[in-house]
Parts: sequence; structure tokens; C-alpha cells
Amino acid sequence: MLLKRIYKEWRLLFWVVMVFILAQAFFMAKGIENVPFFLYYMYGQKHPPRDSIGIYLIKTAAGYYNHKKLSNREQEILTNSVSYYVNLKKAGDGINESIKKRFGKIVSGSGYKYLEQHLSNDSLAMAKFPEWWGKYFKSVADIDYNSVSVVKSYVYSKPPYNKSVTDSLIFTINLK
Amino acid sequence: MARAVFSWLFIILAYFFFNHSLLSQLQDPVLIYPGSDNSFWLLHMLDIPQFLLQHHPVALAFDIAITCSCIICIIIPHQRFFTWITVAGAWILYIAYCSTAGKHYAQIGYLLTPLPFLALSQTKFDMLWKLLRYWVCFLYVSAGMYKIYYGGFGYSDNMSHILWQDNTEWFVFNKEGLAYNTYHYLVENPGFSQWFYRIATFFDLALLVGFFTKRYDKWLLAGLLFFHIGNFLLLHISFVEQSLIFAAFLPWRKWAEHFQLNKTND
Repeated sequence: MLLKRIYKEWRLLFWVVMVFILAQAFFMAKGIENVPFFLYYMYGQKHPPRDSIGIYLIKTAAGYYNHKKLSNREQEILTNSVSYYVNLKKAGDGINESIKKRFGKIVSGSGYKYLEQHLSNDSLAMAKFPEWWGKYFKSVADIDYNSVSVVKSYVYSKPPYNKSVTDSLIFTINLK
Repeated sequence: MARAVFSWLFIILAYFFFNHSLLSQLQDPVLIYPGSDNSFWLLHMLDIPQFLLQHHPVALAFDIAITCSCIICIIIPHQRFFTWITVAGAWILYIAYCSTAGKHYAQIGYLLTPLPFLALSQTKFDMLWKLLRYWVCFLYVSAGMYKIYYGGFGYSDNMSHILWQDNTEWFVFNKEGLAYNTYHYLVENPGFSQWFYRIATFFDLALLVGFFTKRYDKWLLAGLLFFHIGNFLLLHISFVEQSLIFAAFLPWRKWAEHFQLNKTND
């Protein structure tokens, strides 16, 4: 058995493995992912029926930009970051609550301020986001646009899975 | 073997480069996402992702350093200094990328597979390589168990809803063709599409065999490939980053013996 061999030949690794197994079990029970204790539970839960789903689209003067033709990694940066930005705008940075919960009783004053500065997003970062997004979009898009808008729309669950007629504007950014 | 694995990692880094996702190509992102992950918190508290992401020359130096050290690992596999730089660089790259994207991703093959090469002796490497293989088996078996535990497996409409929900953006731009007809059929026939989910759960759980024997590794590897190709075709989930975990199931010893024998015969 491998563990027996490791115990005999490399005692330090044996204890590292033991701690790792215990930590993995602990985080699995808690349902929190802490790298390198990965939890592969995605798609495990029931996905209930929904009438429509909100999506983010890139609107140009020539119509909607087909970001699905970009690679997965480019799409992740373009659309997930917008979703994160919208959530931050809507509900604020939830991490401040987590900092309070985890460090509120043990860190105070400048230490606490340091944590907030390094873990949360301030209003300046929020204000700069559209400009950064525009720069990244420009670097991946195959066509030059003068300006683009990021909009939220809805796709209906009934075939042919059309999107809603109206969009709500998230931001418009000048690319020239 | 080290040469093959680090060449594979180099191809992944090249893939990142051609897909604008090395740190210097992220255009100095402004938002961070540490989430609730303590490791992300630690790195962000130390200012590492922010410093790399917000200083373009530093990000560029980082990208060059990780790429060059990976190349050195291919050329000179029997050293450890550049192996450490490559491994640490890959983990930092992962954390900084996820922080920029606003989501923590599960594509981690390129983080796990180079780890055993940090060992200083062949015996220690062997043990770490076996542990890696067990870790990969554990990740997929746990994924299968989660699918049963959280009810996705027993919910007959699950795959149909996943297919529609994951392809909503795709449906906006594609209204005809073979792919559209296939997705449409699968979404509208939940009883049929759920079998894909059940087969995926079976492939996840099949990795349980890997804990007891290596005899079926080629079948487990085929199952993993089938699973990831299925994910790619149906849900557009790329597995380039994850593909390095396949290395744990390849018959390296057999290949080494084969090449050794051929060399002797020559």
C-alpha cells in the first residue's frame, strides 16, 4: 500500500498527506473551496426550470458582437467580469462582510484597513472598470469599433430561444 | 517524462498566449475577486496578484519568466530551481487570472501535474506521481458522488436544463445548423439528454477503479477523454488547461522500457 511505503520511506510526506486528507474532508464538509483543496461539485445540483436567463451582450453599431466565437478564456474575461461588476454595483462588495466575520474580532485599526484595501474593490476601481473592459475587448476583437455598449438581455426557454426585444444598458465605452 | 510533461505545459502556456490570457495580456485589470477562498485571500493580502496585474512591465517579466523556465525544464529536466519557478508561476497565474475573471475555475490540470517533478530523487518522484494519480481519481469520483448527493443524477430534467442554461448565449447567435438541431433536440427531450448526465456520472465514478489497480488505466483515460470531449461539444467547456491530468494515466514506464529496448537493439 502506497501510504505504508510513504510512511516508511518519506515520513514528512506521510504527515503532509494526512493533514491534506483531513483538510480536504473538512472543507468538503463545510462546502468551501480553499485552493489547493478543490471541490468538484459543479453541475451536481438540480437545475430547476427557468422561463428565461439573463445574459450580457456586446452591442456595436453593426449589431451584437458574437463573443461566442472567441476562445473560452477570452469569453470568461469579457462576460464573467461584467457579471461580477454588475453584482458589485448592485449589492456592494460582499467581501467586506466576510472580512468582518473572519477578522473583525482579531484585527483592528490599520491592520483591518489594510485587509479592506487589499481584499475589496474601492469606488475608483469600479469607476475604472468600463475603461479596462474596453481595452481588453479591443485587444481580442477582430474588428475595430468606435464604441461599444455592454447590455443585459434575457433569453427565453422556449424554442427558438429568442432574446428579449429590449436590453438594459450596463455601460458604453469609447474605443477610439 | 519530465520533458513530455513540461512540453505539454508549454503548449498550454502558448494556448494562453494566443488567447490573450497571460498576465501581461489582461490589460492591467482593475477589479479583484478573492471570493471566500483563503488561499486567494492570502495572496491578495500579500498584494501579489494586484502587483503583477497592475504593473504591466512586471506582468510581462512574469510571463517571460514562467515561459522561459518552462522551456529550461524541457531542455534540462534534471534541475529543480526552474521547476519551482514554473510550478509557483502556474499557481500564481491561475489565481491572478481567476481574480480578473471574477470567477474561480476548476480547470486545474496544469497546476497539479508538474508538482511531482519537484521531488529530488526518483523514489520520491514515484511516490508523488502515484499520489497525483490518486488525487485525480479522487477529484472525479467526488464529482460523481456530488452529482448523486445533490440530486442532479436523479432529476430527470437536469441535463436538459443545463444544456439550455449553458448555451443561452450561443443560441442568440446560432439559429440553424447541425449543432443547433442537436442542442434543440436534447433540450426538448430531457429523458434522452439525461442519459448523457448519467453516463458522465458513470465516467466520474469509474475512476474509483483507479484506487485499486492500474490495469484499467487506458480505459479510465479513454473515459476521461470521452467525458471532456462530451463537455466540450455539448457545453462548450474547453479542457486544454485540464488535459495535463491525462498524463497521470499514461503508460510512461512501458514507453520508457520500449524506447530503452529499441535503443539497445540499435
